[in-house]
Amino acid sequence: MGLVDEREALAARIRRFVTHASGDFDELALAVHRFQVRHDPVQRALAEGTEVSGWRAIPAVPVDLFKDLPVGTVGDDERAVVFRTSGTTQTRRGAHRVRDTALYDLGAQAWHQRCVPGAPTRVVALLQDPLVAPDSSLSHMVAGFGDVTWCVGADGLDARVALEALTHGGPVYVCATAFALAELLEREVSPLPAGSVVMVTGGFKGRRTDLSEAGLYARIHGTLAPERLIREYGMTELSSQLWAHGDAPYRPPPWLRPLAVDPATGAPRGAEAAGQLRFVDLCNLDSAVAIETLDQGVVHADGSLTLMGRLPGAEVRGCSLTVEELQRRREGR
Amino acid sequence: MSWGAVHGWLTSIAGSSLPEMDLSPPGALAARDAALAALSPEVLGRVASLGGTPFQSARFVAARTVFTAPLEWLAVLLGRGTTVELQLPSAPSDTGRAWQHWAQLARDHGLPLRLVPKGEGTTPELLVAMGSDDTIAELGQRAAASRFLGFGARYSAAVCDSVEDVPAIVFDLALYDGRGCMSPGLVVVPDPETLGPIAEAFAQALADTEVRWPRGRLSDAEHASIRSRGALARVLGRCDTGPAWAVHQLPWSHRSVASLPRAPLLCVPPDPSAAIAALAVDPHLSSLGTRRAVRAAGGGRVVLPGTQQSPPVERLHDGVDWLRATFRDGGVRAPTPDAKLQPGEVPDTEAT
Repeated sequence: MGLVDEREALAARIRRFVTHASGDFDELALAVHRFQVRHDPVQRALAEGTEVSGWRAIPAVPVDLFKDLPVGTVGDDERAVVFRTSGTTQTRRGAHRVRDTALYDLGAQAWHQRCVPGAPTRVVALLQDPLVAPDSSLSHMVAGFGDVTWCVGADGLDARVALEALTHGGPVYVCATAFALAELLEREVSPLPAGSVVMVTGGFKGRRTDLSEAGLYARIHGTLAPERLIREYGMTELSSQLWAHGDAPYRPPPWLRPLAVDPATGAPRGAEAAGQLRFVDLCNLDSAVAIETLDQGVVHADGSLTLMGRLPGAEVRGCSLTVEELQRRREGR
Repeated sequence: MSWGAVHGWLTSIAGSSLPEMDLSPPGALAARDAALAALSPEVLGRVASLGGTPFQSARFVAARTVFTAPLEWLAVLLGRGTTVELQLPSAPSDTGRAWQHWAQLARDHGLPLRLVPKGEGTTPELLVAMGSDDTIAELGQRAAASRFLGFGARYSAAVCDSVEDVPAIVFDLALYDGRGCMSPGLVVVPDPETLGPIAEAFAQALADTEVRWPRGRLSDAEHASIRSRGALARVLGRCDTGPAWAVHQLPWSHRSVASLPRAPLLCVPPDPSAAIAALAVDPHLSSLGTRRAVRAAGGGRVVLPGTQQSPPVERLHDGVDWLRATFRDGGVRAPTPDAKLQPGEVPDTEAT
């Protein structure tokens, strides 16, 4: 069986898993891993010499490798949809290449509907229009939530457009990054119409702000007074997302499993133990079924996840120059 | 002038134990002793003979990692009679742990050194700061001092021409567990034929170093970075690992200047001479360890392997003539730093 047929057969099994909960996660994850090892030199090299007996043992691709290497089974010369991590054109951006977004859309929309049932379809997104930013996976996902007003342009948040969209009409679904929401809340904003929902994603990584996440949520409740405040956790390198209500842990979909590992060795840690986070995402069929993040968290016995932010210690470099700082200096920023 | 008290203070530091640190106890002692060795009575005697008007007051903002860097600056300032406020990092750090103790020893010797938290203290005449680019930029913007000397982040590299160079380079990169701007994270291997034996020698030297001078505690992010670059090396080059060390080999196109604890990165440049010359003039370079005769410019130092972490007191600090810049009437920049061989630099004889 060739790559295309093999992929289609696996995609069909994943679709059944997503829509009908049909199949065994472990078996399917291993099948996807074997497929990727056969067709992706990167994952083949990472898997060399390892014996993979279950989903927890699948060699995870560190997210930084998405900046350096073409990870996945989609060749450079093949048609692909490419989602990129944030950054400037000069700095290295991770690229998540998929043949098409069918599995991404299926998984993202299915789990969103389960986690945020009845969300208004009038959407105000403090994000860039996917027509302007086709490589933003977040914008791509939110575009599927309803009739969207996009409020971030090339120069940043267009508060006038956002405020106008928020004040006219019925219940609204505000989808935003934490930083964009913090910026909006610096303006004079009225409470949202009854039945409105606010979705927040991301932290303040790389941004200078005095506002904590808890402080932001308090301001959202105090100023916008939404009926529901929902948190989303997703990554460019993942096809599936986790959702949380209020302060509750994030819930992964059945086709995505988080795993906390020892940052020193990569060895899995048990439930309720904090560690560096990995994700095994069946919908990452075209890229890497297992990825390793630079975030830390606790995976609970029921599979839910409490996120604890970035791994500690990234700032202990003192006067030693990082690649990013060097790049920034060379660009004169 | 308080040079006698400074000598007494440094002797007390040498004779005292160190608190528990992220560095292993032997590693912390090695770092301390390397710093003290540079501050001999002879060297400080020459510094004392320099003419100039000392500042009345100074504040020194220390970086988190290399806890001995403030030693030379404070020894000079205190020796001249300047009253010094030392601002330690607010988060727990080896710098904070060491200096809680060393500041008390200074006061025991009657030296006017005071620890001050961020945002407190007086407005000094001289403000010296070391740390990340963001810290330096922030301090520079609001510095009210009459002179501000800010030293942001830099990187170091080493050239490994043969396996004989390896122990000295490993010494440089193992001191402080690879933290700080003088640790050579990037190792240039000019001859591709020697890469294999040199990588093996690095592995052996790192394993030997681990026995006598164990690696200390790493942060979770450091562990993750080592494993991440190791994964990249497994795909594009080679990764050898031990219990507390790693040797990464990557193509030159994927080189990085990030120094990871006890995890040197070996890269073979396509044009070694050009690559080494480019490193030596990179304005972001702190030091280049090499036995080759290379001209430095841009503020970085070219020194012999094994001495990258032991800068002489009489030198330019990132291009700044610091011994004179710490006089009220001294100039900040070296007269012509671009074209001249620098203290500690290999004399420009025939190329090897």
